[in-house]
Amino acid sequence: MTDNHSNPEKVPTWEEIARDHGRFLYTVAYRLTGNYDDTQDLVQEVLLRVERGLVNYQPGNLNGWLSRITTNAFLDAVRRKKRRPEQALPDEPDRVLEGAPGADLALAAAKLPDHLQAALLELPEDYRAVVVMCDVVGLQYDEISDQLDIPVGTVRSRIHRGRSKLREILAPILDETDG
Amino acid sequence: MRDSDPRELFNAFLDDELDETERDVVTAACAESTALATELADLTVVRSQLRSLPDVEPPEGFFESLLERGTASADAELPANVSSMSTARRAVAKRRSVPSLLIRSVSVAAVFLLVLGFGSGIRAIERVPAIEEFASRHAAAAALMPESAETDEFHPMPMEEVKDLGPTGSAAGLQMMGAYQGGSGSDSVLQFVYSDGSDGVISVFRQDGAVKSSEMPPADSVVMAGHDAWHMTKGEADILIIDVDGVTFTMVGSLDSGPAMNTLVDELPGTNPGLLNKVQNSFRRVLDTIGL
Repeated sequence: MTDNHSNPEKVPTWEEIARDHGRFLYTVAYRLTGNYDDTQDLVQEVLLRVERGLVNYQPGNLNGWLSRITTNAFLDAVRRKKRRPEQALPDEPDRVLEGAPGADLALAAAKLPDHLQAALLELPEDYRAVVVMCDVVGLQYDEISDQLDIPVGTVRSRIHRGRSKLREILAPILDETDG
Repeated sequence: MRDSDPRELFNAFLDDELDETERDVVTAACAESTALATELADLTVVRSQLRSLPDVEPPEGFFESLLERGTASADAELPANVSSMSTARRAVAKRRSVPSLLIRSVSVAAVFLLVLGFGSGIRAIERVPAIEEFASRHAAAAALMPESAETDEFHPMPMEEVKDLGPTGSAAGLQMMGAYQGGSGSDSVLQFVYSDGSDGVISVFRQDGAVKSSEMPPADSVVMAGHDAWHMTKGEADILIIDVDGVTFTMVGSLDSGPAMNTLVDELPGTNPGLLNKVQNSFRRVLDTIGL
């Protein structure tokens, strides 16, 4: 997830995006939604938007553009769900973090990514979106500001509050892995 | 920098998004306080772990399946597990609970419609949008709007009366330039014309009644915002037909209007309370007039 800037000279076809960037889209979508059903729904929605938006795409930061579409589609879906609540649970059964203190150090460390994904879902969606764009996609603050059309100060604030909340949620596990 | 608490700067510090003065504030604070230094270390671990999260593998054949079928028919022809899931979600959406006040409003409206002779019931109506006619009307509106949208068959409507029946356009940066009504009774068509202030024009046609899906091209079938929809192009026009809770919307725009149309989809009101309130108010006026 570190190659954020694709060839700026070339506008990819929809097929190239699905084939070459599908895994990227799937990963970002999963980090945002936390479950595979919603991830697949989101990726399909994103590809529809990509197909319709390619005519307006200006070559440049392709992953930034794709992550913007993914994030906006995710936030749209969240807003729709708030209007029409559905039950959506993460796929990971061990989302309850209170179980971690009994695990040994190695297990806690090994399961940190799972706990981290679960903790991400505890964040307000707006914060989660910005944290994912920064830490999963790897965008700079000004790039996130451009892609989401929010001030840089808001990006900075959401990243700070988002990561601080993650630290708070993960504190028992971090303490354990610290020994 | 007005942040009084140096912890507010920690994450921007880790992301190298601070100027030199701000960096000095963080460095000095952590040098003076073990607690702050520990907090910064914790955030470093969180950030590092976030950035080390592995890629997530899609199910085998997921993208290949989409590629084979193309986006236009993606939702209709997805692998069985995905398709059934989406179908289930649409079913849930259609089964969603309706506030009791709305149920009462619908009941009153239904009585009113029966009194006026629309007893066949809007819900029973199915539509096959007149795409060619709509595209032609849109082209005229786009070329010489707004005057050309007024014809013998289509008359301007006061926006105050119809603003709840179409998208506002504001989220897409569009402004509603005119609203027109053609036809009559349950066969009436409302046309909303939106402009981006330059050459970008989109028409949204609203008809009561669901899309008659059996007569729509299966290959054009998509799902938009959880609703059944059909996407196609006709010449220079991009056309999106969408069924929102039994109301048919046909959007017509130029081939580059896709993003704006996507945004408009999220604003489509469907069977909205605004319409029902209008009908209800009319019903009350009728009752008042006849002394009941």
